[in-house]
Amino acid sequence: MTTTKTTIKVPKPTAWPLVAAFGLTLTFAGFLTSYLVGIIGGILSVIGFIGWFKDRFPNNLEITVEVEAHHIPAPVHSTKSTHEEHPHHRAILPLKIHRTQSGLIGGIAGGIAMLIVSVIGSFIMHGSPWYPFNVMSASVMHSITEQNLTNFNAIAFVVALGIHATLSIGIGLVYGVVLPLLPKHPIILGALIIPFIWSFLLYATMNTLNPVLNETVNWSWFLVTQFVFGFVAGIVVSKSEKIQTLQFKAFAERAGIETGKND
Amino acid sequence: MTREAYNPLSSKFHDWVVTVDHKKLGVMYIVTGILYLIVAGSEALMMRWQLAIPNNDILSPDTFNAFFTMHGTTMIFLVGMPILLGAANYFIPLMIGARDMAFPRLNAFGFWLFFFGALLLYFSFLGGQGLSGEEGAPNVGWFAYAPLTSTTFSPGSATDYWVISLFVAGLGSIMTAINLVTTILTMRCDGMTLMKMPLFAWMMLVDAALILIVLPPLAVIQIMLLLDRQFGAHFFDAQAGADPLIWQHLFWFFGHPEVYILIIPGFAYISEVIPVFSRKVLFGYPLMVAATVSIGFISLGVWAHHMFAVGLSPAVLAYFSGATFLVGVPTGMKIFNWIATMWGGHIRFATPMLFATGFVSMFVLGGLTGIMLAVVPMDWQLSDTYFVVGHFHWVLFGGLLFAIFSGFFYWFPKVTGRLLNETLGKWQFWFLFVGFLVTFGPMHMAGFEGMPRRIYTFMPGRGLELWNMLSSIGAAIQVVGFILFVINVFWSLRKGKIAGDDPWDAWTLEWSTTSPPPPWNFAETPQIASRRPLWDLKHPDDPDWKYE
Ligand code: HEM
Ligand SMILES: [Cu+2]
Repeated sequence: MTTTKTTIKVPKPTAWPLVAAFGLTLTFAGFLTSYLVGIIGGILSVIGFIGWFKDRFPNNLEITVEVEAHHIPAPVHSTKSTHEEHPHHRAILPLKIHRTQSGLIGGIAGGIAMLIVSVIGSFIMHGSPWYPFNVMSASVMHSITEQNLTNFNAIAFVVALGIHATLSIGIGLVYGVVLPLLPKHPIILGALIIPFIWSFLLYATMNTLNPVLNETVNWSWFLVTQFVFGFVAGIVVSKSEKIQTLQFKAFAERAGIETGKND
Repeated sequence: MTREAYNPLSSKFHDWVVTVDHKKLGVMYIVTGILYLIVAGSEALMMRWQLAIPNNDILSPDTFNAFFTMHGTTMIFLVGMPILLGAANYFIPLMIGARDMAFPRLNAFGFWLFFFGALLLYFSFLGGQGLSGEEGAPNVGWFAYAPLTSTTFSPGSATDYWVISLFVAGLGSIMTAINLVTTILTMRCDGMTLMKMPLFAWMMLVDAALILIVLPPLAVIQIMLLLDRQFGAHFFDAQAGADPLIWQHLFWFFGHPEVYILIIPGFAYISEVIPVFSRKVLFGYPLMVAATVSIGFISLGVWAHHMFAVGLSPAVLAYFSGATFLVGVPTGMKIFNWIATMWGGHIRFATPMLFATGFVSMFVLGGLTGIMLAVVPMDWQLSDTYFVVGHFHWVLFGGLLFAIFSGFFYWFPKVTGRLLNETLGKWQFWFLFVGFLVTFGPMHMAGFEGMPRRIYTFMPGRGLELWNMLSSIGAAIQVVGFILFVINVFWSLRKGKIAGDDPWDAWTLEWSTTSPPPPWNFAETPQIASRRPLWDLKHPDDPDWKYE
């Protein structure tokens, strides 16, 4: 530690702002009590302001303090248990992610697996493969009623396939982003927990949203098909190759303007 | 000068009264705020006692009116405001490497205006004559709607006390906001460009700017109301042809930004705590700055969401509903950024971090109930019910108060030289957290069941008994948390672990000086090159400025 003595000037402590503030408060308190209080307050605040200004003009009243040098930088006296810093303290985590395609492929694979299982289930329970298509399309098609759920309906078939494909791919893409964020048990998370959460949400709200549709759904079988989707999509995504994010590359490289070194 | 001599906490009464030092003033603000927290908390406890069972008679209807008015007014103006101004006062100069605020004497003036204004408000218990002529304190609610505030409905001087004391305290806040803006804009140390300031400074800059924009209009309508009441002006008098709704518009033009004035400092505290306790750089600093500025702007244009039920035209309803939804966007960005900062970090769940994560989780929920209220038909159903009470306590208690405790545990060692006790701190957190959930969760349910806010009692057999009993039990649980806090502070001031300069291994400038800091803050004015100056000092081989 050095012992060089420097001095700095700081404003002299003063009670005038306090007096002015007290006076001002009393001035207004005059409205609440009596004019006398208000007048006393007015006088006090004028005195306070004059005193304050005389602290400033003609000379700025200051006192000199002796500055003791103290250690900069401070030695670290930390309560932190380890002195090892986070190796990626500046990075955007996770450092490695899946390619966009893997989410896409995972979604398609999960969607196909789910389709197969649903059709088999429909055969067993209703003696017809068309039940799930009709129920799915019923959410947007008014012509589908409880009576014709097992008949083949071409429009319903196409609509249902469209909804199913969109949802499967959408959720597959979400898996692609979310699973590497929770790298510990991607399969359990993807196959069980996430499908369970959304199935539960759907189960809890469907009765309010569309009670008739709710009647037609076999919820335990529904859950099974969701698990199948989650399991297949989860495996496909988490087994796919991971790549480094571009965060350590220069902007020109990220934008594809420069190719950078081969690595 | 020995070190003991400049310890601000060991100096004499006289030194405090005449001080113009930003640190002493900061401490005075915060201590006053905490004292009023205890007062307003006790008022709330009495109300919960009254509401624990139907047809209770602990508090008379008039006393109840005075209590909810004083509780709300106190919490917002005498607890939230001084604590946030005090923390800014204490830490902004330290964080930006300055020796004091730009206007030290104005700083003292601002504090004393607040201090005397607050005393005046509480003097009303002795001086004012309220609705019944018996109760002394203001009883018109914290937003004091016209025409209830006219002399016809509120004779006596209780309402004038509300007007004048808040006017005086508000003047103080305006002075301090001027000081903060000037300090942040002009007194940063060498190398600290705006985009290298700690986020705390950015957020308080926006906050002070909001104060400057909306507190003067509040002062104006308070004067107008005073003129109405004392001199027969007719600004808000319907019988003289005025529209009392104008009060609501003008009040909420202040009132909505005010809730952001209260929560942005909360954002500021946890934006300092979360990176340090995750050992990672704050995620998306520029985005955080942008989000804060846009929250400030948007919050100026959403006030009528407090007035959906007064009969606004569909176009106005649609605008204010849409604008309110819009606030959710920058707010959501912040939440993602805090989570992304914690993501994959080496998280230490010390008490400051516990409160910070409590903040993030609870604030999300409070924001969501806010969005529910921004849906006009939903608000028609829920406005003026306990659902609204649930909503704003979620953001003010689970949000602001948790953030204040986070900051308190984080910076207490800097201010006093001693750490708060961690064990007591964790117990405090859990009592407050559970108590908070049990108190304010059921309020949403009571609101759904149709319980209006601000009623002094309720009838049995309307599905409200369980929710109210739970809320009151929750309040009792919270009391334990608050008592642990008070014990912790007194114990730690004497016996707490010596902190050293930098107990958390943090990165901003306040940790580079001694704890407590000397009157001159820094022996040499600092020079910085990055947002984490202390990281650079501690790791000369791997400095931040190469990456920013
Ligand atoms: C996305 C965020 C938010 C939204 C959309 C929102 C929306 C709303 C709406 C629509 C109301 C009016 C309800 C009514 O009276 O019918 C309200 C009330 C309120 N909000 Fe929020 N809010 C949000 C965040 C906050 C925050 C952060 C705070 C404070 C820190 C807050 C504090 C309050 C208070 C104090 C009231 C009640 C005022 C009163 O009537 O006494 N809100 N909020
Ligand atoms: Cu609002």
